[in-house]
Amino acid sequence: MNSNRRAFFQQLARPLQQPVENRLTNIDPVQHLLKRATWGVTPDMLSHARAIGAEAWLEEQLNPDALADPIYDEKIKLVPMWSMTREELYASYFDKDYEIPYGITRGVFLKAVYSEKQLLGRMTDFWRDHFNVSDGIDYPAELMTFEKQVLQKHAFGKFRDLLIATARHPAMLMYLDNFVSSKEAPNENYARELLELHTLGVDGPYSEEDIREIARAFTGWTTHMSTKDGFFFDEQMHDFGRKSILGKSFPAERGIEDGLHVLSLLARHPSTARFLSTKLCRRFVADNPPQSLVESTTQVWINSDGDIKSVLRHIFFSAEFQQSAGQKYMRPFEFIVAMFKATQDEVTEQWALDEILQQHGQYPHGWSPPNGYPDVAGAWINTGGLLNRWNTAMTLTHIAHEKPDEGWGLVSRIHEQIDNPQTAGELVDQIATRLWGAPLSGPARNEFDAYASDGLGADTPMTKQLLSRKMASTFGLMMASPTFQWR
Amino acid sequence: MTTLNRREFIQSAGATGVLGASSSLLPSWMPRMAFRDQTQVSGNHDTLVCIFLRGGMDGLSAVVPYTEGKYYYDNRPTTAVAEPGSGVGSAIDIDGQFGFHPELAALKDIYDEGDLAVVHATGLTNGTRSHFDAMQYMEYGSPTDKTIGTGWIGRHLQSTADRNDSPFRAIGLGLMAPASMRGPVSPLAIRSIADFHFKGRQDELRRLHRSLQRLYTTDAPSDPLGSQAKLVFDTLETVKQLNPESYTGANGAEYYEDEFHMGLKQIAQIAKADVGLEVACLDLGGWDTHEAQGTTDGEFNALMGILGRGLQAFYTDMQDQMDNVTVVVMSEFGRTLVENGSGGTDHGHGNVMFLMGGGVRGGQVFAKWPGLAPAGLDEEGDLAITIDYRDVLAEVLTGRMDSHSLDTIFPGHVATELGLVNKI
Repeated sequence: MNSNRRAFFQQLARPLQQPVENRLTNIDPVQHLLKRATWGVTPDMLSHARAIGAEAWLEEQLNPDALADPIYDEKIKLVPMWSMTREELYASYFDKDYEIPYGITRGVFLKAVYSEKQLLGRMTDFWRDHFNVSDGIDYPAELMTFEKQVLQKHAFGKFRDLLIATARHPAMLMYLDNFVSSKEAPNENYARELLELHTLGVDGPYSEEDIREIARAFTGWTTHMSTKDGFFFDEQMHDFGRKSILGKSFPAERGIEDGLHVLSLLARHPSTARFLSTKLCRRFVADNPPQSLVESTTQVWINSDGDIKSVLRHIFFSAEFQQSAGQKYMRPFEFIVAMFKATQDEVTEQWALDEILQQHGQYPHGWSPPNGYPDVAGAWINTGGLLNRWNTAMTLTHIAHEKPDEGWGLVSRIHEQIDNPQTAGELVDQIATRLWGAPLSGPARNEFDAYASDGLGADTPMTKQLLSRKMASTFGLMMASPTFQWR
Repeated sequence: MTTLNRREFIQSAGATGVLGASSSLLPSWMPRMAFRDQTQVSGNHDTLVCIFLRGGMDGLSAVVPYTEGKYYYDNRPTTAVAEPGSGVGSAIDIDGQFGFHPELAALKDIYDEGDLAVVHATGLTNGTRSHFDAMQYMEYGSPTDKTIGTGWIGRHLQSTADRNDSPFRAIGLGLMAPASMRGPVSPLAIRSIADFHFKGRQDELRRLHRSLQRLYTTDAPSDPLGSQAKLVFDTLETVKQLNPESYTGANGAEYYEDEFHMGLKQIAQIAKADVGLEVACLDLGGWDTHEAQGTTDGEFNALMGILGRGLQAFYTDMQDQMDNVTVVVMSEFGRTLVENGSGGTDHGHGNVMFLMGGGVRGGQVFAKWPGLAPAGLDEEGDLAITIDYRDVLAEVLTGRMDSHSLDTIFPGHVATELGLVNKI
C-alpha cells in the first residue's frame, strides 16, 4: 500500500460523506451528468467536476482540443494505425488490411477507458451509429479515416459539415454502393438511407420519386485512389439532366452541385432537426424522450443551424435531463468499458478484447445494416445477454489474473483499487466509489453488504481470509447487479 | 380399488411418467404443465419455427417464374435463373410454372413428399421499401401501427399464456429475440445452449447466485431486467439437464458449422427435449443484394445453399416429429423486377414464403399470380402482392397452433383462408 494511494482515498472520503441512492431518488446532478456524458464515472473526474461546476466541466468536454490527455496519448501508441495518414495506412497495411477493424476497436476502446475527452468519445459513438458503415467494406483503411477525419473531426461541429463529409467519404460511398452509381445505372441505396436514416427520418416527407431523383443527383460521386481524400467526382458517370427533388427544381447542366445542393437542403430541413434532436435525446436522456424536450431541442437545432455544441448544452441542462437518472440501460460496449474503467484491468492481447465484445454483440463497425446499433433498452435486454454480463463481470474480477502470462489476455488490477477495508461495508463503499464515483445507499447496497459479510452485516470485520474470498467476487457481483446496468 | 377409464388411465400414466422423470430431468415449472386439468388444455399444437431472411430476399430468384419469358428474362440480364432443363445452373421445375433456384435442390424432395409449400406474390401490403420499416410492420403484424409495441408471435403467446410457463416456450436464436416475439411473455434469447452456464469463483458460486437472485427480484412484474433474470435462472437449471454438447442430428442429418445451421440444430434439440418449446425464431441475413447478386455464383447463391441445406438438415433431423412442426420462411420484401446497373436488385415488393411441416399441404405453389407483364405489376413496376402475408401466418396459427385470437394478433385484419395446412 503506498502512501499516495492512501492520501487519495482519504481525500475521497470527503465527497463520500453524502452517499447517493443510485436510481431515481436523491440524484446528485453532477454525478448524473457524468454518468451520461462519460463512459464511466471515476472518482477523480467526479471530484474535478464538482470542484469546477457542471457548466465549466461540460465546456471543458465540448472543447477537447484544449484538454491534456497524457494517459491516452501513451496508450494509443500501442495501435500505430491511429496516427497514420491515409497514404501510410494503405502503404503499411496493403497485405494485412483485415487487421484494421481490430485496431479501430482497440483504439476506440482505449479512448473510452483512458481519454480525458470522454464526451468526444461518446459523441463519436453516436455518429458512428447514425452514419453506420460496417467493417464488411472492401477497403477497411477507410474505416480508420472515416473515424478520425469525419466522425471525430466533426463530432461537435455543424451537422451540415458532418453530413457532407460522410457523403463524400470513400467508406460511405462503398458501403451504400454510391461509388458505382452512374447515369446509365443509378443505384438508389445511398439516396434512400440518406433520407431515411441520415436526415429526414422514415416519416419524411419524401417519395419514392424523390429517392430516384436524389440517386440521379449523386451519380458520379465515387472514389479514386489518387485523390487526396479518396473522393472523386466523375463527370462521365454523372447525370447532368434536370431533376426535381423535394418539390424543388434542379436545373440541367449541374455537376457536383446537384449533390451538394441536396445535402444542404436536407441538413437545413426541419424534419432533419426533429429527427436528429429525437435521436440525441434518446441517446442522452431516455429511450422515449419527453416530447417537451424533443420540441425545445428541435428549436435549438433550427436556431443554431444544427450546431451540435448548442444542442448538447441544451439537452444536458434541461429540466427533463435532470429527471432522467437511471433510465438508460447501458449498451454492451458502454457496460464493458465501464467495467474496465472501474477495475482498471488491462487488455494484454487484442483477441481477449475482441472476444468479449463479440460475445456481447457490440463493437465498432460490427453492425452490418445501415441503421446502426439500437439505442433502446428493449433491444438489448434479453436472457443470453444478461447472463453474458454476469459472466464478464466475473471474468474481469475473479477469473482475470494479476499476472499477465496466465493465458487470459487480461491482467487484473482490482487489488490496486481496494485499500485495506476494515469492514464489509468499507469494502462495498470502496468498490462503489470505483463504479459510480461515490458510495451507494439503498436496498442494493444492503445486499452487497450481506454478500461481502456472509450475511453478518456491514460492520463485520474484514479479515484477511474473508477479504481474499470476497474481494473479487463482491466487485464482480456489484458489476453484475441491476444497479450497474443502468446509467 | 376403482377401475380407471381409459382417459384417466392415460392421464395417470402420463403423470407418473413425468413424475418419474421430474426428479432427475425436469425443472420445477414442468409439473404444472403435466398436471394441468386436461379439460382446460385447449388442444394440440405444433412447434412453430419462424425463419426471417433479413435484407429483402429476391423471391424471383428463389422460386423462379420461368414461364414469364421476356418479362422475367429481359429485365434480369445477369440475375435471372435459367429455365429448367437448360443446362448447369438452371431452375428446378416444380409445377410447370415455377422452378426452384438450383441451390434449393435439397428442398425438391420435401416438396414432392408433400411437406413443403410455396406461397408466391405475397408480402406486406404497406408500400414501404425501407428494410427497417418493413421488418417492424411485418414483425409487429400491423401494417399501419408502429406504436403497437408487441409482435405477432408475442401476442399469440400472450393469448395462450395458460399453456405453459417454460423458459423455453419461446426462443430467439441469436443475440436478440426478434421484434415479432416482443410481448409480455419474455422470449429466451440464446446464442448457444452449450455455453449457457454461470461463471465465478467455485466456492462462492451458490452465494453469488442467491445474491443475484435477490438483487434481480423486484415487485414490479413489468421490470424487464427482473423477468429476464428469472428466465436466466430457470434456463440455467434446464440446460444443466440437457447436456447440449452431446447432441448430434438424427437420421444422418448434416448441419453446417455456421450460425444459421447451428441455430436450427439447437431448435431441433430443444424441440425433442420436450421442455415446452412452442415457438422458435431464427434469422438468416445478408440478402440485400444491391450489387453483383449473381445467379449460380456470388452471395445470393451461397445464401440459397445455406437456406436450402439448413432446412433439409432440420427436416431430416426432425423427421419423426415433423408431423408436429411447422416452419415458416419469410423476408421483409422482394426485390425489384428490373435489375439495377450494378448487377444487383433494389428494394422491391412481392415475394415468396415457404411453409414446411407434416401439417402443411405441400407439393404446391399457392398464388394468385399477378404475372410480370406490366399490367400486373405494382405501382413501382415490381411483383405485386396478391396474398397478404398475414393470411399465411393466420392460417398457420389457427390451423396448427390452435389460436383463437386472430383479432388481437392481427388487429383489423380479416384473414382469407388459402387451404395451406391441414387442421391439427
